[in-house]
Amino acid sequence: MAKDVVQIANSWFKKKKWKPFPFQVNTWKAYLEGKSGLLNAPTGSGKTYALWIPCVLEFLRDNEPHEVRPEVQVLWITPLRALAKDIQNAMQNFCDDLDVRWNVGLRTGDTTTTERQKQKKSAPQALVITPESLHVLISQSDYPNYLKNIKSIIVDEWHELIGTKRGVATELAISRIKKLTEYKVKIWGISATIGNLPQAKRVLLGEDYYKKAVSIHSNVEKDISVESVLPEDIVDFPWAGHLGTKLLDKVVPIIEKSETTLLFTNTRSQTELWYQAVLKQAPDLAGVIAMHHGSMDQNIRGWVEDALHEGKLKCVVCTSSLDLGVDFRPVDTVIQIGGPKGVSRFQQRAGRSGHRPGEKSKIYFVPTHTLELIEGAALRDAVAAGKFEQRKPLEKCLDVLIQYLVTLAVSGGFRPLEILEEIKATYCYRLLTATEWNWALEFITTGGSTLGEYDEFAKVYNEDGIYKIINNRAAQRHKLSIGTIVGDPALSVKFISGGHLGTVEESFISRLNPGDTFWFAGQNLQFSRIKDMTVLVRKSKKKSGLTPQWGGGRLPLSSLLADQIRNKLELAKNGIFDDVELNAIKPILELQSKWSIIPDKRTLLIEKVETEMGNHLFFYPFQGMFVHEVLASLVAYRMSKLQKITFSISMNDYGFELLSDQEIAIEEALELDLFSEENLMEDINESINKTEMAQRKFRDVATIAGLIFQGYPGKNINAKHLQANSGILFRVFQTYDENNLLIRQSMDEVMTLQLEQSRLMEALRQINSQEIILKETAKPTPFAFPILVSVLRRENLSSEQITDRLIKMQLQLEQSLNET
Amino acid sequence: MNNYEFKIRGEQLLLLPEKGIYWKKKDLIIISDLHLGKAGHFRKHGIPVSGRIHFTDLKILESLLKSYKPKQVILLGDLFHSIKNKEWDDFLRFIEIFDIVRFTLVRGNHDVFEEYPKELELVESLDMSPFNFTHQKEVSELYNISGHVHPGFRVRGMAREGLTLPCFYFSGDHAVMPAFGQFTGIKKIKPREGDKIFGIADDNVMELI
Repeated sequence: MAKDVVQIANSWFKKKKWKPFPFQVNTWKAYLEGKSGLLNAPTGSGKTYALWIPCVLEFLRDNEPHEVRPEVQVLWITPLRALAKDIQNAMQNFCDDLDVRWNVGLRTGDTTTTERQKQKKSAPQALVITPESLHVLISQSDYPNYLKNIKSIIVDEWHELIGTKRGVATELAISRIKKLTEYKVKIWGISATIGNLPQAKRVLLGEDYYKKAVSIHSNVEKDISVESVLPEDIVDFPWAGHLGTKLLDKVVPIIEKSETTLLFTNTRSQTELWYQAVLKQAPDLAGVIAMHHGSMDQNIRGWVEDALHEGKLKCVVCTSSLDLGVDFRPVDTVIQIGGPKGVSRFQQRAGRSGHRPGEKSKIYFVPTHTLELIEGAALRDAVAAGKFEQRKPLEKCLDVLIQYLVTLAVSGGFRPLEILEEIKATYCYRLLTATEWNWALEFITTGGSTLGEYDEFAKVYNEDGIYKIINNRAAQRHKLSIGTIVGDPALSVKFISGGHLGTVEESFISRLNPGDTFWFAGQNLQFSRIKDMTVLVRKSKKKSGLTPQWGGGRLPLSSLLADQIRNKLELAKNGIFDDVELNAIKPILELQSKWSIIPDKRTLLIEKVETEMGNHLFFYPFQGMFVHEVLASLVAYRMSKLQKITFSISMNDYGFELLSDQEIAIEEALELDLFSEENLMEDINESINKTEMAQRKFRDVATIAGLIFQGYPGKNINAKHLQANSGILFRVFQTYDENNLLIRQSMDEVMTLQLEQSRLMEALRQINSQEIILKETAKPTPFAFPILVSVLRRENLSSEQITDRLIKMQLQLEQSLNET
Repeated sequence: MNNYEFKIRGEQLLLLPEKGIYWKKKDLIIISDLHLGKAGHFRKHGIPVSGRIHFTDLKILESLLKSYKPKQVILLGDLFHSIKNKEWDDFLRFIEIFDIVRFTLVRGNHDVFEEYPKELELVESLDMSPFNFTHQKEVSELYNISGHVHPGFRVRGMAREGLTLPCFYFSGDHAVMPAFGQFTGIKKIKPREGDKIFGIADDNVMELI
């Protein structure tokens, strides 16, 4: 009988004059045999049809075609709202072609209340949904009935979710639905290639499912060629910076000679700046150039996406908001501005061009400063070798667990033992201890302490063994807080005359005075005032203005790419400059050799230099920003035990800097073994405590766990008296609640670096096997300069009394006043 | 402990590292923005903050009362963060113990009870020449002293070093007190030419500008 339904799909393909790929047919068959699994297929390979078709076929196999009940049969989880619409269309079209009366619904943060009500009254047979919206669904009292008939959950773009807290939220939701369906539901993931696919499968499917599940590979390979855009004269090219507009006159001709170009930048501000810059350089592009980033209004984004599809645009300047999902067929050229920091991301972006079979995907790499050119060469090697980064899953996120438990308490309550059994089957919480579980339960019921100092605490009540929320307002507030993406409080931007443009962060707007102008969504806007969490603006004719900054988004260099970069440097050290990129920056590398050295893989280079700012030490482990952040504070902490001293710490992906106003006894410190693995954990803990690293992580942790209420644009909920910034809460918990596991989690997140858990240990081991070379230089070297001028995340670590530091700083101030 | 003696409008004021002012001539202590009850308010809304934080507040106040033995304490507003909760009882017990001290509350935007006990004198503003006390800054013929802002000041060193400290702020016609409460934040202020700022570093009050 199963054979019959596959026939239906085959004839549909035939009618379209297409031919199914073997991986598609294999997926249909595995699915129809009732299996779960992971499909490894890139975007644009027909992955949607690989998994959507068998969902419908299964229905046709087990039912009469007209027996359509208002029950959700399929959940299609997607990480991006922007993709949901396209997927919904493709899915609905297939049903319509087959005359199956299924309704494919869409459920994201943008879905209107009316639409939600409609879905509640009469459930669509398939629901395209984001992880957050799925949790909102679970916060509704009738969710068990709504979800218990689900036949399958398909998680699209799983590689984007694994390794994030949204991925953990997905694991939790799946664990609940498994139980509701009495473990009949099939779980399928779709993932682009990453370095740890077997693990990705295990994490998604859970401890109870993964062993029996299948893995299917599409084997659709794409040929990618990488070309770096080289500056004419390397001497004029900046040693530091991240905008890259210096190469504008080389980029514009590429756009002009192409049909349609996607120009990827690394941040939203960079997108705003490049859009302006390209238009200024080539005014005739007006009307056929657009921009696209996550803070723009979704209607505007939708318009850009449609115009791209229809081939109306010549260029779109964008961020990772266009990384994923649907294909824009007219795109034939991709340009990457600045280092993409990872090989997988770069490949994904490259894959946005050249969709016709056999066609090469071409990507241009535009460096923003000199050393970044090495990245171009390193990327090409990694792509050619078919290397991909791993995406390590997160473990034991107590903040996400707490949010989930409160969600269940809102929707009619939960029995702890039942839920414990479910979550122990997830990868994330498989090793959760009884102590941790009990702490989480205590935390939401009594406030986390049995000492009685938490009287009048009100959140979740234990009523005859069922944990539930009674207070309606608390429930409402929780529903609005569901989600694991934490940003700065966002304000919506609107014209006074009406018309929504998108959102900016509060921290940016607070710097503006009425009348100031800024660039947003490609327009120059004059700030008028703030009203009800809304920034009111009018159009401005000015040609200048600030560009908003959005937090987050800066990714550290992956260890894979870092490794490739070291390979390239080793070649350069040995005088081999075969790559065009390395050849182009030969003069700079020679300068580095002359003033200091180029470190090979067996060497850790430390440079010592004095400037008018003080004494600098530069270390070059080449391990990525996150590792450097922890390593730098460890080294600073250990040195601060040898002398009373205050350091200012800075870092980039190549190295880190310690700066002090006094002489740093580095020679002595090196003799005492600065990188020793002895007392390592204690020292790291201490160094994290002495900087603000854990406190920064705590902001996200506390928000996800519901301790900080962010407030929402447009949703007027008065929570003013409940607002405390995370820094205050962090200190209060540290002082008065030392066993608080959320503080512990924040510390852990610093150490495990969220992304690549064992990287720090590997880095230390590597350093300990290297020869340390200390060079005193007269000026900051080409390697040192980008770290020196970086304004990102400056951190202080001190072993001096605040009073002593203050006296010293005041003396310095007086001196500088006397000198002028 | 290092206080700072500061003379303004002919009056000798002692700026205390506990974030209060001792006005010797009148034998009184001024503190501002205690925000008691904030922990309890958070707990009532499901955010578990230990009430011990406000014991610390009261302990510091107690030590001030014991060492300076003032006749009067002026609370410069935002004494209690929210509507009544159990933490208010702790404060009532506190003023009962120190019944020889006169407590005067200059009402702040957070002080919203309909009734206050008679042991706590409530005023909207207070004139004691040469000073005029209000919670939020007001224009006065006298020298205005207020709280509300929770002022802090950032000091920078040459090696990209920085410290943000709670501070007392004195300008030509008004002054702002640091927030006394432990469960409060800091708002950085930008002084103008001629202003004076005294920061609190460890146990010391130090002149910053």
